[in-house]
Amino acid sequence: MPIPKPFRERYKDIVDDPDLFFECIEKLVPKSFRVNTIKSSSNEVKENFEGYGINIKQMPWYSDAFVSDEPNVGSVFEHFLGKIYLQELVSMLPPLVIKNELGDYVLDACAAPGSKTTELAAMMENKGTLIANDISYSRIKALKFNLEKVGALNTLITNQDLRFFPSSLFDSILLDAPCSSEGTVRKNSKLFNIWNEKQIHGHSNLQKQLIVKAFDLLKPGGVMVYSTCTFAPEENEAVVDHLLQKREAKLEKIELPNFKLSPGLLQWHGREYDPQIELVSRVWPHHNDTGGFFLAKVRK
Amino acid sequence: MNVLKYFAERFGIPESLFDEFGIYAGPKGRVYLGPKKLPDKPDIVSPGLLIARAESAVKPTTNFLQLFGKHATKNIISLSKEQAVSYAKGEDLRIPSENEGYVIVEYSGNFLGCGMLKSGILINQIPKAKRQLVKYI
Ligand SMILES: C[S@@+](CC[C@H](N)C(=O)[O-])C[C@H]1O[C@@H](n2cnc3c(N)ncnc32)[C@H](O)[C@@H]1O
Repeated sequence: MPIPKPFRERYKDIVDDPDLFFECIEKLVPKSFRVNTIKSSSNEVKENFEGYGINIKQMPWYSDAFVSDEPNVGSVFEHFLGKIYLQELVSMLPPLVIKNELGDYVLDACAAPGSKTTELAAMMENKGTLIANDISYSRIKALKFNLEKVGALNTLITNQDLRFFPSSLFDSILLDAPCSSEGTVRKNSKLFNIWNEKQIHGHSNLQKQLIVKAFDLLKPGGVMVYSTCTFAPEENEAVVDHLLQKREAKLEKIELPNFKLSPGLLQWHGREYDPQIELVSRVWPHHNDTGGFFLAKVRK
Repeated sequence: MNVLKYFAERFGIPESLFDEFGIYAGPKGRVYLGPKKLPDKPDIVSPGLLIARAESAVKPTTNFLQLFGKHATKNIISLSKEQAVSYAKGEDLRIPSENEGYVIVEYSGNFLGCGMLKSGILINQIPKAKRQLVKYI
């Protein structure tokens, strides 16, 4: 399926190099995995892969992240043992950018199937309490499977609509919101078959409710990451802007050495956003050879 | 039956390893190892890791043994490379042994999970969803 015209129209003027961008999203995303430090270490994994003769490249921005040109990386013994977790590189970012500020009471608000929960559990060194919540019971099955596979002990699964989550005070929260997933097109080329602009607005409305609720579950001084895997400003900057209008929230700049992040848009389709919005981060696929992504770091 | 006591008696896994954790009972004899304290709301679907099913007998889970197998001192069955590949795929193995009951299955310092020894056969206890073809080992 070629890239739909309305998609090109939407993004050609907000990306630095439209030709490179459109060319990149037609290519498959590189195979990547993360070392599960509950069960292994990047040194052990590097050594074992060398023994197998499989080329892997360690990411300069995260020593537990690797890409491989072996299409069957899932058939290594380490995968069976839960020592590595197959995960898109951009999916590793939200936990990574608050790694040192997680605290010991953490909420993964939209957790299933658990790629980021398993990463958070490992970063917390399997201590403290990590609540992995999702509204979808069927997706919770996969979440449970993945958490058990990595050996997470500090994780409690809950099955709530986040909008009605009982009042609590978390040290940190990850809100990896349901979205139009445009940024996953390098993994799922069928995405454009179902893509339409109308969907974006439906997601945006829910995301605005979720971000305000998540902020209310944060203790004063706590930190939250809002993330999506889409390019649509309605689901990204506009959602964070909505939070800034509704609550006393502060945005913080995300620092990630050796990974190229781009600043947020200050306007879109005639709407102007709060000047703080510049501090959010966009990930364009052609900058780091990844999927597309969006991150905002919010302080209460 | 106290599951931690069973792990200590059967496998030599010291009970003290679990001092910082909580043990929780679920439906159908399920036993979970999780954080020491649970919040009172919202309802928890599952607390931590399913470590055993304890009905008439205690059956340890593969996920538990993969994680804590390294602390065990007995009832460990060591496989060859070829046997480890077969076991990961879900096959039963012929193991000449007088031993009977649940064992920890190991290859070269890696813990594959749970097995059941009976009349010289190691009956595969790896859950179906976890079985896979291992090409590199
Ligand atoms: C982008 S996915 C999360 C992916 C996950 N964080 C991971 O890394 O594996 C979004 C999730 O939000 C869940 N969701 C949608 N609406 C929700 C709501 N109102 N409350 C809680 N979860 C919701 C969906 O079921 C879906 O699993």
